[in-house]
Amino acid sequence: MSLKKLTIAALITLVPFASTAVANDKPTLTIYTYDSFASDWGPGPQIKAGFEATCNCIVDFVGAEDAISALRKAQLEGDSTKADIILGLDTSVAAEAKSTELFAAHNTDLSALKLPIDYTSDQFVPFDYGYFAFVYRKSDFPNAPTSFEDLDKAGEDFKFVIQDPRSSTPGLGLVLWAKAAYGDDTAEMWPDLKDHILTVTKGWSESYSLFLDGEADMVLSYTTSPSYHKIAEEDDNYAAAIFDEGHYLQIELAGVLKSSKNQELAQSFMKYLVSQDAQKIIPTTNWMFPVVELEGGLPEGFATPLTKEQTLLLDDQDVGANTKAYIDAFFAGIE
Amino acid sequence: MPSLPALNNNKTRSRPMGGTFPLLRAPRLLVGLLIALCVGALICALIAIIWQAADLFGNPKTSSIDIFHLLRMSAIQAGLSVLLAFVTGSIVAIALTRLTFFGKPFVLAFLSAGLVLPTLVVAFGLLAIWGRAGLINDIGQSVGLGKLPFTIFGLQGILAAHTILNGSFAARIFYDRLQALPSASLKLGQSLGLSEWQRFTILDWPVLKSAMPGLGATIFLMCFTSFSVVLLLGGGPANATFEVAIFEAVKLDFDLHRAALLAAAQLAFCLFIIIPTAGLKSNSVLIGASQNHLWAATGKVKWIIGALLFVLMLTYASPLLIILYEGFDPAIFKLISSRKFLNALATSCVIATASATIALTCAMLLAFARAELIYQNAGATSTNILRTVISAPVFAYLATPSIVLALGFFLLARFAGLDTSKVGIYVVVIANALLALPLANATLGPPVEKIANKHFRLVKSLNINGWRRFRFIELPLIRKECAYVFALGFSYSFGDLGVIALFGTDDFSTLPWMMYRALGAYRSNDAAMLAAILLFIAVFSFYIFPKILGGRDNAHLQ
Amino acid sequence: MLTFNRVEFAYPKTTPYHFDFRVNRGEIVGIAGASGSGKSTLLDLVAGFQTPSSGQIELDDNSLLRLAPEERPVSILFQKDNVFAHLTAAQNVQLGRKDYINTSEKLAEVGLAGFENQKCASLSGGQQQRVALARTLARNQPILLLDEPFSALDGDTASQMRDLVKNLVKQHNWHAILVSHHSQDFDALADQLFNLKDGRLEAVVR
Repeated sequence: MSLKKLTIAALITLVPFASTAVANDKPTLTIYTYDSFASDWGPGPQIKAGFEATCNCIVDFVGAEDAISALRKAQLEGDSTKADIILGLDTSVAAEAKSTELFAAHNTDLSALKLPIDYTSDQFVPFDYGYFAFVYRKSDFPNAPTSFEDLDKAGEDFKFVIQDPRSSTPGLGLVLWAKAAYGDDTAEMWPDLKDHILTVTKGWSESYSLFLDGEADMVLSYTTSPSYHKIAEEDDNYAAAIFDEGHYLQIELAGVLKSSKNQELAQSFMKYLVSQDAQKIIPTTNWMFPVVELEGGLPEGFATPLTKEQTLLLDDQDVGANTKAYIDAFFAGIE
Repeated sequence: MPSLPALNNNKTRSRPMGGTFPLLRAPRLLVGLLIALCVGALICALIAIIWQAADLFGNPKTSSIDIFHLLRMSAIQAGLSVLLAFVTGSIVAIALTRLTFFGKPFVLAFLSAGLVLPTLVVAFGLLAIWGRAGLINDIGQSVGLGKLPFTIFGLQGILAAHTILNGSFAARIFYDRLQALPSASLKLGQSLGLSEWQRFTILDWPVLKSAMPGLGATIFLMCFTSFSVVLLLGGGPANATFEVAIFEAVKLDFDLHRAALLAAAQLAFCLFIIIPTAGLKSNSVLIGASQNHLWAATGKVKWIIGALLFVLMLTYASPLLIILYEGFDPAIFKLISSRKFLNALATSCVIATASATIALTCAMLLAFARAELIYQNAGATSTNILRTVISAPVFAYLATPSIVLALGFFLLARFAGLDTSKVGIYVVVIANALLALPLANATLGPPVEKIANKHFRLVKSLNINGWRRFRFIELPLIRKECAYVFALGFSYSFGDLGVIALFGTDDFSTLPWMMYRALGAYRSNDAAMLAAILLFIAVFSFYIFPKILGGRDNAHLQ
Repeated sequence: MLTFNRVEFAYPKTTPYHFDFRVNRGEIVGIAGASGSGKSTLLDLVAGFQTPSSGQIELDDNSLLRLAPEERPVSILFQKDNVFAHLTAAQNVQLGRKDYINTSEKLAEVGLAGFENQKCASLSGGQQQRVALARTLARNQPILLLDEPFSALDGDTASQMRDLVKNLVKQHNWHAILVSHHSQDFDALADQLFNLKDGRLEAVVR
């Protein structure tokens, strides 16, 4: 009977998955990160190859849905976790991550890093950064909006799409951005903008697809998103709207877990991560700015970093303590 | 072996013969109860372990979540979705029973496909038709009619997507049930010259009505817990869901107590839907052996229902057809020959085959257990309670958010001392099997009980039990349904994006996961091609599995 | 008089049927034959569920073929499923007519006085057949097609039903065709008997 055959086939094919033993004497450095970092298109494979060339070790990137999930996973696994490093946390969850007391000091010299504003932490190493921004098609806007207020003046049909701050990094970034730019006045700003919000998606992917499909005029993304279209697709029609209020900075961080049995290896990975070799991989794979001045400069056609004056960032402690209140205020504003 | 009972000739066949504990004599009943209890216990364990873990990793924070608001919004949305699915589904089903036309088998295979695709794909298909930059607006503007006067974002968009997903499935189930009307009844009705209205009220309606509770509960739960569609098309936080609140609790706050509480609250509410439907007997008065007598509509009625069918099928199918169209790209050959794709395809096939097998087996055993209640002729009260106990847990997974499933399984594995990085595939298989189980159960339950009702005297008097009953009585009669259930379970887990999203990695990838990752890496072109491939496989499996597994008599699926 | 005038019919890839016979008023014609020999097809042709490829079926020189199934002057009695079980006896009888009729009278005529408001689901097989017969009375159509109507009934019930059907056919001058497997049906009812074999009817001399 065919049914029986299928069952047997299923059982046979399942077995290999159960036994993926790795026989090797080299130590394995396990890095929990967000999925797109670890994916083929992301920086993961090149970084892995680069570090393995010198470390006599095996680098194992384990992708989770996002960086915070990677952290939660390590938390739930507790002492038995295989993770040595959590990579991809950002400034909006740094305080929360710090409070878990899972992270060891990184002992990496960060003085050579070139960030728009000084960021110091003895537990987290910044490895790239970007700015949240609204991305649009140049052909739609001869005069792009230059502030949050302009968004409201862009016409009745004007729609932009954002992400849920509870499930998405840029979504949370927007809430913090508005807070940093307008303080308590955000309470008045959101109701003006709510009619222009097409929808609030769970993740960035859905939002960006809606934008690409033409359902939305603008999407909450990064100032570096147009660089992808320009460099990878040779399409110059996309641009990020630069706001007078400035842009909220997202610094992506990596930290070594105290529980790691490969402390030295992990620390040397941290040094590698901010080296020229690793940093030059970042722009065209993760589409973020590197944290060092690249020897050959940024790739042709890549966005330019904003100035210090254009950069907004709330204090980690402020974010850690008040994120919930800010999110609630955001929802109250657009409800 | 149960002892041979005295043959009960009484037409009303009321009184028991099994004593107070008929189940002790019925292995099938025991097996079914065991499965049901395991499924139920697993759910409880998943939520309980999250609660338990909260004590270890507790991080309680205050929350401003208005549970009752969430419940109300979700319930309204799900209720309306069920209503729309029923109305459109029954119109399509009724029209299909009255018309014969070229391409009808293709239409039937297509009817189940919407349900099993990742909901995200269907939602984007819907946008490609009805969205601001969609086909209708494009055509409208190019012929000077201007834009659609409404937007697809908001409650209307959610309902439209849910109707496309579930209405076509309802149509399929309704159609199968209507096809099982005895041909004598149809000939009689036709000969008596019943009006269309009489035909509907006397013949069709009792059939549709009997299919509604189980189907309605399933659709309600799927819509109630629908997540990505609601967020994508919802147009704002007013249409938020429990699942987002649980995301917040787990990820941002790491408040596992609240996550467990929210999951329990959602489950508790869903039990109000599940319990009453689980106890219902499938009304099989009008279900008989079908000889497929076609009572075709004539004259004006033919044109009216033909037009209705055309419009509804176009509404159902256009978002799917456009997915196929948009995915048609010469680059597809490069994609499908890549190692990543072949790996993901293989993984998808293994997962889908395994979970379809589990879902089919469980659904069969549960159906046999419920049918055993008929064979054992147990007293009415204990029968109803047992029916509920056997049927209710089946639905419970639909009412459990996938993040809770994933988190719970993860913690179970951790506390059991298993390597959490390797349990992914098993969790995905089990979770998908259990998610497909309500659909499998709704499809397989009624025919198995029909057999019991029809043949129980003969089966009891000949003492045909166990394997023999399965091999010679049941299997030949439900083979077609089994094949359909297998196809359903197969494509349902083939299209899963809810569970895999929490376990997928670069090494452990399925086609939907590959698609979602492409979307997350600006590769919308790859994503479009993968969506088209997924749809193709879904339709194809509804065509091929009935052919392989369904035996020769699979007219209604071809 | 109901006449089959060189009626030809064929399903794809099977031996074609050829029917040529007549049924007089008040007469019951029996059709015997093995399973699958086409007995039910013959009834389907009269009822309009199938259309002959050639030939003519006429009632008193009026062709039936032009008529849709619901327009044909035909009543049918199947082996089972003759009533809609969720409707009452009276409702089932009333279904035979567009105008309002005295259903109690018809039910009484088949021996079911007082059963008007009983759901058919609660009636026995024999009683259900009687309800169907009451509906046939209510319709009072000149043609009655009997498709094994007694086969599902036990001995006594079957013989009572046979008497009832015979009396009604004679009394109302219906043209009846009886399809059956059972010789006692033909012994009790059939005025003429044919055996259907290889697509053709052979008269059985008794």
